[in-house]
Amino acid sequence: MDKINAGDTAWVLVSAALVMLMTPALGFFYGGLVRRKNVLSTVMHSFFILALISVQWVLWGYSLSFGPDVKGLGLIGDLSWIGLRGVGIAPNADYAATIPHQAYMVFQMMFAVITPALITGAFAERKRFKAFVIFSLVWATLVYDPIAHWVWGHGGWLGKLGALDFAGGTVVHISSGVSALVAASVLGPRMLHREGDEPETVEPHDLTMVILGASLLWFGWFGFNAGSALGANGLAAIAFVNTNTAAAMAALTWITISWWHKGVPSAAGAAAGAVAGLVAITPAAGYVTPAASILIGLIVAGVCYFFVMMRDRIKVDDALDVWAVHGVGGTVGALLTGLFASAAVNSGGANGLLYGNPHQLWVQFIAVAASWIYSAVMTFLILKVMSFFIQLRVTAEDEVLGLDLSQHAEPAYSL
Amino acid sequence: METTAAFIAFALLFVAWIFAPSQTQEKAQVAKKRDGRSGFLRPSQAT
Repeated sequence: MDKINAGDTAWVLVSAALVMLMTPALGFFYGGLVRRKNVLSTVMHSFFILALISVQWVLWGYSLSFGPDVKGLGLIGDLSWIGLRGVGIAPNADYAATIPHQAYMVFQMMFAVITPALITGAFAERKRFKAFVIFSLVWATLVYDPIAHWVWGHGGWLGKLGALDFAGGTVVHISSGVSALVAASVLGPRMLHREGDEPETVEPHDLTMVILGASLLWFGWFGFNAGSALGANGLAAIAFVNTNTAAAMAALTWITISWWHKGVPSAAGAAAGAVAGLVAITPAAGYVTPAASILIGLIVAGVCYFFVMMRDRIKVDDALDVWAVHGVGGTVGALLTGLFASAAVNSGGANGLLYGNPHQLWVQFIAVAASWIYSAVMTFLILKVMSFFIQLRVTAEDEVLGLDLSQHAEPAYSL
Repeated sequence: METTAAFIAFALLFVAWIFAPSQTQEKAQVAKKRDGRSGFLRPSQAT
């Protein structure tokens, strides 16, 4: 039996708690961006998913994602770890040799929790709560769990191919970002009604809440990325530094672009830029140098800003820019990992194009393409099948009233 | 045995979600009246 290391175990458990905090933080981030009549329903999406996927993960999600590979195909884990059967205190050397297997499991649980929560920003302000609940459970099982197995599961086909994804650029951000675009397209745009002579605006109702949410996301992301070193070691320190550096550089870049583009340094832009930087550094955090993380932050802010500006042109009402920030940002990060990765930083990784290994960029492209295609097709099928049995959107009357009252019969504010 | 019971409990919850009553407009309107200002406050009303 492998020996449990106290420092590693403590760090991974603390990291799990940090990542847990990210999901309610996301709720605040999204909640501030919606209109005040929908803030409670938006926060509730994240909070409910925290509970929902926590149980799903224990019952079957972890087994599908990290359980023994079915027939050696690298596509999905089997059900032998269902209900965490056999997942105990003893470390599993296939994943983390110095921490209890359950510590690894609960750390991964928090990733499984936040991923479907990211999608909720796309269908905010119009999805029925019941449809959201069913979609989230089915999506986690049919989309997240298989992709997690491909990349991180023992024997997963993308992992065997050599794809580098330190903390979830493909597994978390591309899967959720692309699914968000599909979900927003299937549900259709939000309905804007007229109040008197003025058309209803969709301005964020509370930017202080957005900044608070983004700050807590930044904080929690240290667990997300540095925790993915799975030990209290030098690699965790590298990932920590890269995470902070990329977020900072992306925030600075986004602010600068918006300052020149719109004439003002946007506070909402600062938050969006930081999140874009955090997304892009996620797959690269443990493979690149701090200087590379500055370049990654710079590039992703410019690219994501462009795609956020393009939102109106693609005619899909991805309400809170989940695709433009997470889908595009995750793609940029995954590809740049193939550019900037250095085996000198992490001997368990590989060199990228800039260090003489162009093949790594090709492998990263395959991982990106597979995640895009699978997420898009499966999300479309899930929603289409669901639409035969259940109404996905609230009624027009409920949408005008707001989801806080129409879905929960609770106002967010009593000021 | 415990795992089976846990699965059954979660399955029952899932069934309960599927057949849960939908919030009616009447209840929403009651909530709106209960706190008429909430969620609908205009800047002009706030001052």
